[in-house]
Parts: sequence; structure tokens; C-alpha cells
Amino acid sequence: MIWLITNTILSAVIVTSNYDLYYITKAVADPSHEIYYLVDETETKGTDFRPQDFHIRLINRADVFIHTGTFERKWLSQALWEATNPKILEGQQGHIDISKYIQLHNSSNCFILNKEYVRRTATVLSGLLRKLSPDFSEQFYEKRLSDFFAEVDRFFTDLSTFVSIIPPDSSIYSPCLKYFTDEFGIKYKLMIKKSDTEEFSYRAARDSSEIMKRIKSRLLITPYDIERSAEIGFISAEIPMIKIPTHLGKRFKDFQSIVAGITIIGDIPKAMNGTTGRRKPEPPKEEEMITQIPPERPRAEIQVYGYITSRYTSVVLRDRPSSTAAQAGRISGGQRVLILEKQNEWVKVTDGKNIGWLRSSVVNIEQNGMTQ
Amino acid sequence: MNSQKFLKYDIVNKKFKSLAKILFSTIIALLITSQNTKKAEAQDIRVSFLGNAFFFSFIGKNNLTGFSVRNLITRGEFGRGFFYAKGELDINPYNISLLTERIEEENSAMPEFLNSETPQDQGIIRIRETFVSTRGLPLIRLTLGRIFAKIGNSNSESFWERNFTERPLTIRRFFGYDGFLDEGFEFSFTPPLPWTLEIIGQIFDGSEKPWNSKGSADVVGLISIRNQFGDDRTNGGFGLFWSVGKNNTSQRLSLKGNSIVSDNNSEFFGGDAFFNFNPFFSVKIGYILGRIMRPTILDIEGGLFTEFSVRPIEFFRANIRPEIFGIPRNREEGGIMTSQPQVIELSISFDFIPVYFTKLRIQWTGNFGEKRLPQNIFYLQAMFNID
Repeated sequence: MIWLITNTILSAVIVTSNYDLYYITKAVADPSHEIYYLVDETETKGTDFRPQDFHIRLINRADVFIHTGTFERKWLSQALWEATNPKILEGQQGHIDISKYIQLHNSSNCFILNKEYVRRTATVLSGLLRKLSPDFSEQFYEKRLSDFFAEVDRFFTDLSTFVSIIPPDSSIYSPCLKYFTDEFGIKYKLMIKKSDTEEFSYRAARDSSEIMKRIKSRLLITPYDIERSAEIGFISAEIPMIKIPTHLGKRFKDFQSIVAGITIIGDIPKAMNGTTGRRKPEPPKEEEMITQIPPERPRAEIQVYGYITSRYTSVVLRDRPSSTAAQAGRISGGQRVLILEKQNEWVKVTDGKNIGWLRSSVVNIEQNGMTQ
Repeated sequence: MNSQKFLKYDIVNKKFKSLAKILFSTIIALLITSQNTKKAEAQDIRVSFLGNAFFFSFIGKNNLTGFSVRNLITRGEFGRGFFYAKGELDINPYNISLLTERIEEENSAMPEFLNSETPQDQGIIRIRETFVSTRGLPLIRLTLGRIFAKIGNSNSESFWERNFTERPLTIRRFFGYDGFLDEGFEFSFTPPLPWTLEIIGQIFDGSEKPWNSKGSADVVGLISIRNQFGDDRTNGGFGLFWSVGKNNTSQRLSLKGNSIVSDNNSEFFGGDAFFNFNPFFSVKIGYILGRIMRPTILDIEGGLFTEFSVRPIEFFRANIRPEIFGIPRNREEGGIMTSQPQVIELSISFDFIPVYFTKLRIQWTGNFGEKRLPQNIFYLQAMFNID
């Protein structure tokens, strides 16, 4: 009762466990609420996150705590104890566990790649949060929700354009991608990792590549934050990959950034009969659309090679396209490298052993095969 | 022979032998229950395994080596509504020492395995932090059980969280190698402020004897204030504490013999502060002043410890810890005050973190000022944390 009175008078403090939930909450809640998130999964792995004092303080202030019911299990019980906040204990109205409303794939929380789950989460949150806001009408909340649905629909329409290039004999890297394959009815041949938390090495990636070749799986769909060693393993085994951002965050601030962030490495085999066995047949108009790759896609860099032209014996690779970013290895001068991505004056390259970003001025790009 | 330590562990073992069995069977029962109950209920129980610290040490002065599969901490926690409970069992499965001569040190500042103690002396299973607590009371928290004293962060950090193999020298000197951990009651108050302010009161059982064999309660009281500021990137804080009591933990650890205890109170006063610039840099500083009264001796000792840690890349961290014990270090005996030499200890460690649940550490610790202690100790330590 006190909870209800307090929150119908004052604006509520809403704390979400990750940025995905923060984004959805922000979209459907009224603007009077203070909304915070604990972890940005595009920057920090959810499984690595442990709440510090700052996060406990947020949980202490929260009127509503929303979490995915996955990576939070490791610390939630203790964090709720430290926070001494009776409003958000399990069973209270202020405690919202999204996993009760969606079906999780092996404790994976990449549900933003599944339209139904995103809509369901938004609907649940909208329904719960509107109880906190007597000043805002039902119509206001309905409008917020329908605007968000429209944004989600646009996102999945854009995403569906990529599905056309995915052959039906593809493999997925981890349960995280199952949300994506389920959404688009993609039948994958192999799921390489049993769990998102499993750490994969270069050798394990090479072994998995062998299995993929044996079962004639021609493409690997991976999350954007695939381990560096595993990525190098697959590249060196010449397995084509599609890297899909699986979370929202500072790196991918909205759904459109996720579409723009999809990266293709290697030569993607053509889809069989131009279709992927979609679960939901699209109207003819959309079928036409999916044969076209959007122009903003960074496809120009696919299968482009270059040579390191630095006057130094070796050049330093960077973790990100910035001269202040952490070092990610070295490549010797004259080495032939595969160019994976291009961003302004930086290129992401690999020699099969190292992977990282270089200034494009030290790479002489081969003209053969270059489309730009 | 370090009889005081043996005495301590004997007492602990007797006191908690039955409790250990209960805790162990409770954890197993909870595990089995969690498999058979509904999903939501199983999520309330968590069991994790921390550590198995594996030491190799080479002691420069004595040219001796030690090898020890140190310990495995099994941690169980249960949270449901108003109630929260946590239990930790420290299992010491094996401890081989290749020391050819025992290193005698009476005040517990030395790691146990350097004293050539055998598992029988320590007990294979020891109870660590184990308590029941409230979760549902707004702003306050009441805790009962075996808990760490809030004398700064360095006391309660597990070896997984520390940047060095052992706790700071000052804490080891005053409260023993395992820190100030005792049976007691805690009251904590956290007012709703923009920063974290926690006011803590603790009462510990200060007696050496088991509860059922002693006539009266000997208690140790502690008041502590902790402040923390900032966000997840840049944060800092400071804390102060004052502890007073008869039969204080330090006396139990530092007195030799059986039951030579003072009727006078001993006191500890201190504080610590920290600053973190995550994940790249952190610094910690702490000071504890002890006024320890024994029947004929009064010791006034203070220790200062500082830690600097740099983590330039995700999988590597370098740490340095200069410490001075003995500011001041005075002993009054029979009306005569003497000043004793300071002990300076310097530790340098490098942590390698190949994956998030394992750590490898190389550490050098140099001890200056006390000839009886080894001058150089090298550690190689491996740890894991599975939860």
C-alpha cells in the first residue's frame, strides 16, 4: 500500500539489469520516470558483471527492478540483500523478471533478435509501468507502445533482408543466435557452443570448422562479440561468417544501429533457390525487397586483401579504430592481410593469426576484387 | 610449536563440528531440493565454488620450498523474501610442506603453510563466513552468525578478490592470517543519501572457551562508518572504525599458552580509503592503531598499508603494496616503555586473468626489519571461481 501511494505521487526510479531492457523501458514508459541500467552488454559481458557499490546504491533507490532472469542469477540474491530495499524483493510488485514471460534458450538473453519476445516484453512493461503513472492517460501509453511496435517492425523488416543471403545449411555459434533463427525460421545444421558462457579457443574453432566442412555447413552466424581467438580460428579455416549484434548498448544505440552493425566476413555462398525456408511466407512485395542488399551495408570490403606497406618492420594492431585503443597484436611489414571492415580512415584486418584495426594509410589494398 | 594457533583451531573445530555437519547436509539437501522443485524456487538457491588456491613458494633466506593445495571454499546462499542466508565451508584437503625447519613466529603474521602445520592441526573443514540475515527491512539489516568485522575492506576480501596472496601485514599481525572473523551480531543502517553511508554496529563473542563451558559472556564491540561515492567508472570511499573489548580476537591470536587473558579492555582504532578508476587503476590506504592490554604488558602498535594496482589490459594486472608496521610500536612493561623496531614489508604481484573465472599470480614479498621472518618469499598461485 505504501509502495503504491509513494509511487503514484512521485516519479518512480526504474532500474533495469541491462541496456536492452533499459531501451524498451525508456520507449514505453512515461518520461517522468528515472530509468537506469546496470550493465551495457555491448561493452561488458553480462556473465562478467558483478554489482559494485554504485550499482547497489541504484538498486537501493529503485521502485522497480527489471531483469532478464539470466546472468543476474549469480549476484541478484546477494545484491537484494545488500540493497535493503523491500519494494523490489522477489514476489513484490517492484520485481519484474522478464524470463517469466519469454522462453529462454539455455539461459541466453539475446531476445531482442526475436520480434515476438520484444513485443511481449514491451507489452508487459507498458502494462506494469502505467500503474505507476496516474498523470498519464491510457491513450498516452498506448501511443508509446504502438510507436515502439512500429520501430520494432521496421527493425525486423530490415533484418529480414539479410535472411535472404543466409543459406539453409548454415550453423549458429551459440544459443544466443537461436532467437534469430527461430524468428526467421532458419533451419541451422549445427549449434557450435552449448552455452553463451562457454569460452572458445582458436583450436576449438578450428575443430568446429572441420566439423562444419564435414557436414557441409557453408556459413556461420555468430554474435558480434564472438571471442577474438575463435573468430581468428574460423577466419583461418575460411569459414564465411555473419556477425550479428545481439544486444543494444552504447555501441549499438538503437535497432537501426544493429542492422548497420551486421558484418559479413568471407564469401557468402548463395542461398538455395533464393530462399531460406522462411517460416512465415512474406508477401511478393517483400520478396522483391529481400533480393536487394541495402546500400548502407558495408559489403564493399568483402574478400578484399591488401599488403602492409609500413616502413617499419611491424605495425601495431589496435582493438578498436582509434590510436589510443589497446594493442591487439602486431603484423609484419609486407604481410598480405584480409580486410574485414572499413571505418573512416581505419581498416580491420587479419593475417590468420592476429586481428585488429590499422590506419588505412599503411595498407595497400589490392584492386582485384575490390568493388569500391 | 605454535600452540596458540593449534588451540584456536581445536576450539573452532569443537565448537563447530556439529554445525559443519548440519551446514554440509543443508547444502546437499538444498541442492537436491532445487533439482526437484519448480524453476522459480530453484533460483533462490545458489552454490558456488571459490578458489582451490594452489601455492608454490620459495623462501629466499632459508632456501626452502613449500607446496600446498590450499583450499576449496564451497559457498551456498539462499535468498527468499525477507530472509537471506549464506554459508561458506573452507576445505583444506592437502598441505605438503617441504620445509626442512619450522619457521617460528608467534604472532600469526606468517602464512600457515610456512609453519609446517599439517591438516590435522588445522582441521580439514573450517567454517568461514556463515550467517542468516534480513533483506526486507527498509534501510536496516540485521545479521547473526559468523561474520567478518567491518574494519575496512581488506579484512573481509576473499583471496579471489585480493590483489595479493595474503591480507595486509597489519591485519595479519593484529587479527591473524584469516582476518577478524568471529561469531556475532551485526546491525547495519543505510540512510537514503546520494552516496552510500553505512553505519554498522557489531558485537562479537570474544571468548576462547566454547559457549557451553564458560560462565559469562565476554564480548567485543565494534562501531564502523563506511562512505562510498562515485559511479561504476570512477569511485572512492573511506571508512572509520573503533573496536573495544575484553578477550579481543587479537589477544586470542597473539597470546601464547592457554587462557592468559586480561580483565582489561583492548582497543583498535583505524580507517581506510580507496579510489578506483575502473578498470585501469586503483589505490587503497589503511591504518590501524591497536592498544592491547595484557596482565603485565601494554602494547601500543600501529600499522600503515598502501596498495596500488594498475590494469592496462583486461587480462593483466600489476600490484604493489608497501607496508610499515610500527608507527608507533611501543611496549610498556613494569612501568618501563620501550620502543621496538618497525617492520617494513613490500609485496609486488602480477595477475594474469586468461578467462574471467581463473587467475594466475606471481608474487614477491620482501620483509625488512624482522630477522626471524623470511626475507624473500616467492609465490605462484592459481585460483578459480565457479558460480
